[in-house]
Amino acid sequence: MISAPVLLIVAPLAVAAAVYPIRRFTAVASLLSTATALGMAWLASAIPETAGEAILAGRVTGGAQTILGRTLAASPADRLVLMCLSLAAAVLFLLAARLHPGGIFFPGLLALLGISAAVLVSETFVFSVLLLELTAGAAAILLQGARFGSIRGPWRFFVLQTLAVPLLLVAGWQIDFQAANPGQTGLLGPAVMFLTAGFAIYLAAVPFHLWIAPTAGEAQPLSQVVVFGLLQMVALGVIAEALESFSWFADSPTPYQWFTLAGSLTIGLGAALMLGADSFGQLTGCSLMVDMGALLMLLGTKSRDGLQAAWLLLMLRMASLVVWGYGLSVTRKSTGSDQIERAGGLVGRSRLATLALILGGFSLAGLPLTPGFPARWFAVELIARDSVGRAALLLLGTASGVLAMARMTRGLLGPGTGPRQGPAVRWPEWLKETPLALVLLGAIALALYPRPIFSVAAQIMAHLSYLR
Amino acid sequence: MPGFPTLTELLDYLAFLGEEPAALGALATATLLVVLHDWRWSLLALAVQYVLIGWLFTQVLEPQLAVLKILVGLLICLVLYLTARQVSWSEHQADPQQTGSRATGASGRRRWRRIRVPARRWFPLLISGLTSIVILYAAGSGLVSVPQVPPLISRAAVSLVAMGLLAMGLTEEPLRAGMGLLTFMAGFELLYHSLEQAITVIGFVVGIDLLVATVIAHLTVARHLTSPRPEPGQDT
Repeated sequence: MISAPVLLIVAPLAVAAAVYPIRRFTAVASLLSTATALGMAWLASAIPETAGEAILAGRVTGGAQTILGRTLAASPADRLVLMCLSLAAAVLFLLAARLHPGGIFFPGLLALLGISAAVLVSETFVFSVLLLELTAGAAAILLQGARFGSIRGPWRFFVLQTLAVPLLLVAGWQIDFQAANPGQTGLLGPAVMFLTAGFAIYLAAVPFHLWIAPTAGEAQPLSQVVVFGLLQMVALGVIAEALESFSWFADSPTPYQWFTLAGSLTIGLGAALMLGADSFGQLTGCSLMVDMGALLMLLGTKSRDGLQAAWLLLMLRMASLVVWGYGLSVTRKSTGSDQIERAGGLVGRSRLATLALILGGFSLAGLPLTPGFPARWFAVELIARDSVGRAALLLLGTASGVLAMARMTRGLLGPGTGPRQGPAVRWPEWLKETPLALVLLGAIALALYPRPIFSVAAQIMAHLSYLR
Repeated sequence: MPGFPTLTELLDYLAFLGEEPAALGALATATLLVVLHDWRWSLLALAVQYVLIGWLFTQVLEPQLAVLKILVGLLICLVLYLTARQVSWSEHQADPQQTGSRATGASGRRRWRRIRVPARRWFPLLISGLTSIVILYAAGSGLVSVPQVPPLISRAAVSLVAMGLLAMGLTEEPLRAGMGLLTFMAGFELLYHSLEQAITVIGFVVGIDLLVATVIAHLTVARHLTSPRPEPGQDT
């Protein structure tokens, strides 16, 4: 018999070790990885509440497990987050079979899933932080992949994530010390500052955003979904856990003030830089800065709705990034460049990739009738309750993103230097386009009917007592 | 017949060395990491730094754990050494002209020439010198002290953190900046383990150190394997 939280950690790590030697057989690696991710999603949803209950013919038990004196337990909120992460990973594994993001992608993302599960089910804050650093290391290697040359993105990402670790570990010690000595409350003030700074680094607030642009410009688009989507969700899980567990942190005005300020700066800088963006990487980076700023502002609202909107924002960001990333992968392969002007006339060569870039781009920017819009609008509405000025700033950032994407669209649809029409696509070649078509259909469905994502975000919040 | 001394006895014998020289030595090696250009000398400085920090660790941790820290530090140096060797080897293969010049450079005279300070190195030298002066001044005036941490340890930790950040800020070349990151982490650990001595946490932090070394090694190889020649100011 094995405890479900332990299985959630061990299973993907074991499959990662098994997939590594066969990583070059893309189809097999993709199928095995997808099956594992789907299995994790199912397990996360089916974990029994207590150790007395069991599933899988009595082999997997629920409840908590203690290892080395530390408790591992999958709370209902953790399970939902894990389910979302696993389903997103399953989609990425399937798409990777078509996009060939590099051999390390399959074992790397599986390992990340296992470590992310450990971060979420760990009940000890200090261990969650240490495990987050492990995810940063694995993600840095995943971002670099088999690519040689520039390492700016992964290096900056790893360095900044590592700089957050000391702040959070010292805060963790202060929390433990205060718990053991309830009379000594003097350490809580510095602990609030350390936690706020550490979390701001994780959420790439200005000035800790320096890894975003190089990562967006250089890394394989599917790896970007992992770092900008999945890992941000894990980080938000740790932040939500801290807000839930440490009432003095949740009640203090300091983190909200700083998150609001950092969010405003991040949105402002992202919107300003967007005006000069002339490559797909810069567009991605600037759009993500506005989105990350919105997330920080939402956390700064000090409300349950704000946290719920933050979950929603992240889930829809992942959806937008999948569509955008798929289109970008095809475009980069087609043009051999990241420059928008080199992709002129792309519509003549690949209509679906063009459509994916346009839909994904506008969705990242938060345009109405795209998957990214509901979260952005929800964010504007919530922020406006606190400050109309900040809501206007977010709208300005959104408008800046929409304008930049419109400029990109004009370039893609305009005349280009490449061939007007690609070679005739025949059976079974057209099958290669099927995943892209399915992604586009999924995105359109999500744009028209976002209720399931709202429902998941609401369910996560229903299991948290933060500010209730 | 007296047996081989135990670790505790050995530490007692070496007690006359004191902790102050170790703290100053750690600051000196961290400064060298910022200034030195040749990766071999930098790695040697890093290895010496880990030994000195291990000595300081005996003030806050069990001697066995301090020795473990030293061994892990030396293991990290070995990983980085092998990485740098691999990268240098690849560059020799990629650029035969450089191979010739480096082969000539293997002579003793050229080897010693590498530790001269070229003009472009004056800036890091100046900055690291100023940082050291500020740290020493702050330490002497009692500005740098962390509550609940022995003053000597907090001074050493703060100086290592400062020098590590400086090394990272001066370059983005992963091997050299990576040594800065490791120095930063070593300084932080000195501080953190003065507060937190749980064995599982120490084990995890050691694992994180190894992870940092692995990522540095991976990115160093990824950066240099196809780089036709190193950027100005880089030796690896």
